[in-house]
Amino acid sequence: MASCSRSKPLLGTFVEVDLVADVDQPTLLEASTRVFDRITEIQGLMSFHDPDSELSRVNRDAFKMDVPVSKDMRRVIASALELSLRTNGHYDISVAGAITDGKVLPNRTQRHHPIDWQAIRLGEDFVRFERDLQIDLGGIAKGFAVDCAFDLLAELPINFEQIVVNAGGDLRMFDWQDQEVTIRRRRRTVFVRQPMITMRNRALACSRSGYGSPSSVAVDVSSGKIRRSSRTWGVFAPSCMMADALTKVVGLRVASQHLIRHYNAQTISIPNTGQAELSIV
Amino acid sequence: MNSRSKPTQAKQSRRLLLKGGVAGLLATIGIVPRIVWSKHYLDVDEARNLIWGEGDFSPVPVELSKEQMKSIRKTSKTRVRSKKINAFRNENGDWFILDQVIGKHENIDIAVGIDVAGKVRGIEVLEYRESYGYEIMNPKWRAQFHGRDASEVLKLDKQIRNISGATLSCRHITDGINRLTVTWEQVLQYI
Repeated sequence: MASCSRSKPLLGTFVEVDLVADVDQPTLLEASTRVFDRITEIQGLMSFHDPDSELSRVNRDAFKMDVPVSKDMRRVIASALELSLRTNGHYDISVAGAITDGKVLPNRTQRHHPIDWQAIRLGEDFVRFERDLQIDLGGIAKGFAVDCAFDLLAELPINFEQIVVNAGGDLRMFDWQDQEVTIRRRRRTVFVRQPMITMRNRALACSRSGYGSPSSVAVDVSSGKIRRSSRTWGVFAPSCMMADALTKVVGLRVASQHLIRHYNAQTISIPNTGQAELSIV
Repeated sequence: MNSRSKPTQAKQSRRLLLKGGVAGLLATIGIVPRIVWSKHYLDVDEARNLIWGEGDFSPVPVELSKEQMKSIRKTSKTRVRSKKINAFRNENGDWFILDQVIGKHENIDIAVGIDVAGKVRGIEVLEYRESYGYEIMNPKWRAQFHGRDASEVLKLDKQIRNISGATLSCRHITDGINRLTVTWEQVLQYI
């Protein structure tokens, strides 16, 4: 049994890949390289910060014309729009317009942009904005990248014993039952870790708006303001993309039981002061 | 690589540098000690092979002058902590550099490949260390360690294989890479 454990700075955070399988070490390292290549590809498509990314092209041109998009981009935007519909617009990727103040996201246009997911038209292979929008996939693309890594590994002729891909806390496991995970939180100036929690589904994503990475924010769509959250929210889901996206909705406290059930998800909330209590909603 | 055939848990070194009991005592008298958690990913040879494949790299002793350090800091807008650069070069003129990136809570060993044209060809995290503080103020957390010796503490820590939570930024790494590319531009390419 061989194992390989690697970490690279990608997607604005650290992407960690742990693989265990009954093959030789070079085969596992090669598999991990392919995972990182795939995640680098997704970063090249979906980075808001990279002016040459596909996303930046969409933001630049989609108000003027139909912009052709990759299958990956289409999948992510389609999932985001579905979640917008199900949350009555509380989840909205066009929220970028409210946070392009240079602190969270760079403002390239020097214009004010509306927040309106309903103005996004997604065709078979193109996207078009009916208003002068800016979209940001920061709240979904990391999870999507993790899922893509799993799709890629599933196609390899390797019988994995364990796969863990962790994109800065958005993580998914192959053998997840009874596996334990620690939640990293930041209190004042230091990190704190809680005793472990047990995985309840394939993927787990956590979020605490306004803390951690500077880009880790949840925006109240009605006011356009950043919400700072007093607690960390976690979502277990079958896919890392939905776990990632749902943390934003759960963090804004607008997730209904019905919505969580629809995505076969479970949520946990971890307060940042006092004793850690895990509540399974 | 001696660690190649070992299982994941053995390969990942996680250490609690302070025993829980000592930590608890210090916490009760108001001093907040730090606990360091570390994870080992790759050995230097593994990282070099991943970035450059098999090939001969020889150490090149590089020591930056004060002027060079100042200039690199100015251009990269990043603090230059060390004048010594742990650098290796092959016959083509490609570089393999071992570096350390220090943030507020983290201390990360990285390996970076810069090719003969100054382009970054690969970045690997070798070891990641993170320090924790406040959790040991929490009596429930401390209680985990009562009556345990160091090996049990280590065992407990080994169970912590995965960490979720608010997203960590890799900005310090980005700054570190920027510092190294500027170092190549201003110094290494002329050696």
